[in-house]
Amino acid sequence: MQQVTRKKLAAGVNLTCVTTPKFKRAVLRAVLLLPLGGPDAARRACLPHVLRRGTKRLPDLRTIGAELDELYGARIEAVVRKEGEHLAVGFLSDCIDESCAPGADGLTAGVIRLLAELLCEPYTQEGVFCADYTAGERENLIDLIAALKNDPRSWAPMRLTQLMCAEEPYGQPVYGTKEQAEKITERKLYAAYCRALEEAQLELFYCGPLAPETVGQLFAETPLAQPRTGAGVLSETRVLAQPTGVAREIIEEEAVTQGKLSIGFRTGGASLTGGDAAAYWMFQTLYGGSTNSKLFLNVREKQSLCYYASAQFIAPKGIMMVNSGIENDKFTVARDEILRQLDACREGDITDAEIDGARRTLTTNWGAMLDDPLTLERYWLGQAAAGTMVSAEERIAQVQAVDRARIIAAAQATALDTVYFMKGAAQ
Amino acid sequence: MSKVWTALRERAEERTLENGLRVCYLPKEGFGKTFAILATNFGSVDASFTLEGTRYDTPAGVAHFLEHKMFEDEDGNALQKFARTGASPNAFTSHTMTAYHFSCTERFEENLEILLKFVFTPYFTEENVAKERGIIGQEIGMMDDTPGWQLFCGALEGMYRNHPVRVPIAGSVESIARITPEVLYTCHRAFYSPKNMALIVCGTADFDEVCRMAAQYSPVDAPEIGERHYGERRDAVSELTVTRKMPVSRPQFMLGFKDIPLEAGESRLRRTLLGELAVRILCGDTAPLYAELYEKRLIGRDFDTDYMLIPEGAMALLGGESRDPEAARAAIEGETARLAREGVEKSLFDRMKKALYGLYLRVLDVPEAYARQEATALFAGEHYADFAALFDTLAPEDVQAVFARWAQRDRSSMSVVLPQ
Repeated sequence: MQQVTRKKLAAGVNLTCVTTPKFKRAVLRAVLLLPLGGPDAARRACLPHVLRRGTKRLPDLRTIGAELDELYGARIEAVVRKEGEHLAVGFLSDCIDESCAPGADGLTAGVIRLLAELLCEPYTQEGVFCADYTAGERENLIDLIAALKNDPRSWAPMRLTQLMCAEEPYGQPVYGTKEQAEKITERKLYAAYCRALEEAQLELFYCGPLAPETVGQLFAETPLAQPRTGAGVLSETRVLAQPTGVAREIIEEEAVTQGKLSIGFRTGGASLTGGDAAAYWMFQTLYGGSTNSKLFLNVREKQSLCYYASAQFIAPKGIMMVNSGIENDKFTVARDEILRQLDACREGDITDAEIDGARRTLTTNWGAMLDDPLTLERYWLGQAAAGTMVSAEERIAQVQAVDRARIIAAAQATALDTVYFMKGAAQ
Repeated sequence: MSKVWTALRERAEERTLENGLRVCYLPKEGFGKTFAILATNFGSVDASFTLEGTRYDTPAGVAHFLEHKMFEDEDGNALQKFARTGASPNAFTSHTMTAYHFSCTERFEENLEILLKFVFTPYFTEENVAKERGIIGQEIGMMDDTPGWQLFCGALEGMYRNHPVRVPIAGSVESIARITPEVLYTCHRAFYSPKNMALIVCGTADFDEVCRMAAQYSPVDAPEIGERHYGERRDAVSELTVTRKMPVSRPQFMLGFKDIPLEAGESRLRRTLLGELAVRILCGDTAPLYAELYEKRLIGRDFDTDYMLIPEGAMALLGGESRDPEAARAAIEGETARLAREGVEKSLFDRMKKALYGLYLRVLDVPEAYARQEATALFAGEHYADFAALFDTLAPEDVQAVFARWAQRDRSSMSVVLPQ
């Protein structure tokens, strides 16, 4: 078992530590957890990128770059991430463990200091953010929002989420809208920054060999550990057990050659914090979560309808999605086949070998996660945002106990919500 | 043979079997997962070759097609066999390598047996080859719609006039129509010979047992591949600019500097380190030029650099989105010329070297990446973990010599993808 500890460093400031000697690197993170969507959405998405441009001590990319090189190529990246119906903004770092290189003593402390400076001691001019940095990152954000459609494979599921959850915060664009982004100024952004610092819960993370007390002490020496008295209780992600109306089908044309089919389902309430999540993972895995799944074997292998067809259980929100790339004239047949395979699960047309395979796939996936500090970081932030603390080992234990009846129940609780087809209209 | 890198806390066990198959074990203490990769030194560029006196010129995309088809055996599909054990299998074809791999947290030996058996057992029929054309056709369609991939293909096309690296890895719908079971059997016999392959296990395993199984399930008969043909070599690039139009929101560019191929006796790993160090000094994300171009919005956060070695070729690649690719190109080429002329400042060189060392070190924690790098290194007779010692041999003058080559006339080509 990996040692995982969670400690409150101050009001509204939590530190999660995964302590293990097996890695040659350490992963650190400092993010603010905020509600998703709302009038500040674009400003919040812009924020870590402006902060990443300069601090009081290191005022530009040149000086930050030189510092990172001296820290043996530590990486510090801005994070703008959706976690259920929360937005995480801040920084993620990945650096070598200081015992692995000569003269690297104090490297972890150096990275923590830099994380704190980036988040809490920004480079300012006349009491607000630097106008140049703000203008540059505003344009980058506008470009980023426009570029979301560039990759059809990631755009189709994103578009499905917007359509399916249009009335829920989860359907709100993570980066805000173009119109919001265009109105960003250094003054308004700085005000949004102050609001975010005041209202957000701060989530800190460390994975590496240092003892949690040592890491806590290093964080405590920085402004990151200042009490956040304005941070209220984290709101809960809303899970709709059933669709609100009849299933919808939406077709949009884009200038690409291959069509993309994304289908969204409600899970009957199964999510990170509710329902029978373990059974749902089992169902989703045998339905479309591995190369032994019904979708892979039937939609891709038997019928050659597509290059990929897979199902994802988005547990933080309690929805399931099937994504597939198909030829434009195969829309109806692919959709029907995907739904037919779901019906097969509902009717109990599931072999013991499929159940066993799904269980093993999940065991391997969660087990493998324990070897990857970046995946662990993501996992534990997801838990923190959902207000739970279930380890991967516990998830593995839970799926061992799932039987056929519970899997069938999970399939039967699944309700079709929205079919989205992005039709290729390239000449 | 056992090798130890004390400073890195790493160790490798290595053995070459009687049939020529190289087996390497990289233990990872404390890891629950074990990763195994069976790789052949056969990529998309190896389409023309001589085997037992006969020259073969195969259709583009054959290495990749073979990768797809290998999973199928007479008694079923290997993917499903892996799924039953819970392992997570996959495969890839690059320009220079085809590899099959799995990771698992239990039943390692059962999985290794599946891997060895399916890779060494070809099973192609008219029917299963025809069916695969449909699936690969879909994959090609998907790649046609992926701007980043098209940008990369454009860069290779611009840099090489004759070298097969200019042909997309998966080939085209037309070229794969010419792939038959016979072509696949010939390529399998030529390139899936144990002499041309390596098995790397990273995680927790019994090395002797791995070797015993590898010997049991790999063929005794190991033909030697004759010559491989890569076309007539040119120092100059093929085209200065290659342009494609796609539904993208902003222009994207990839600038390539054509470098000289690896010389006889030169360390592949050292050249890679040198090339990566040079390209990072030139415009890596902590370099002074990067900051300047980023501030001018000539490059963005997606900007990336790489150094790539292929048989009879080498290149540095830099690219990403830009509001003005021509201006970005001019600035990067200007800096290359300056570095070739003036050399690299010692403090910049030292800190960049330190950073690159950190990046190389971190790969040791990622079994998938480490084993893949080890396969590449093994084919060149090296070990990835040798990087630590090689770092000490890099000097600012070495990097300056690299810039001097890149700064010559007709050594750079730019691929751009423009909004339609």
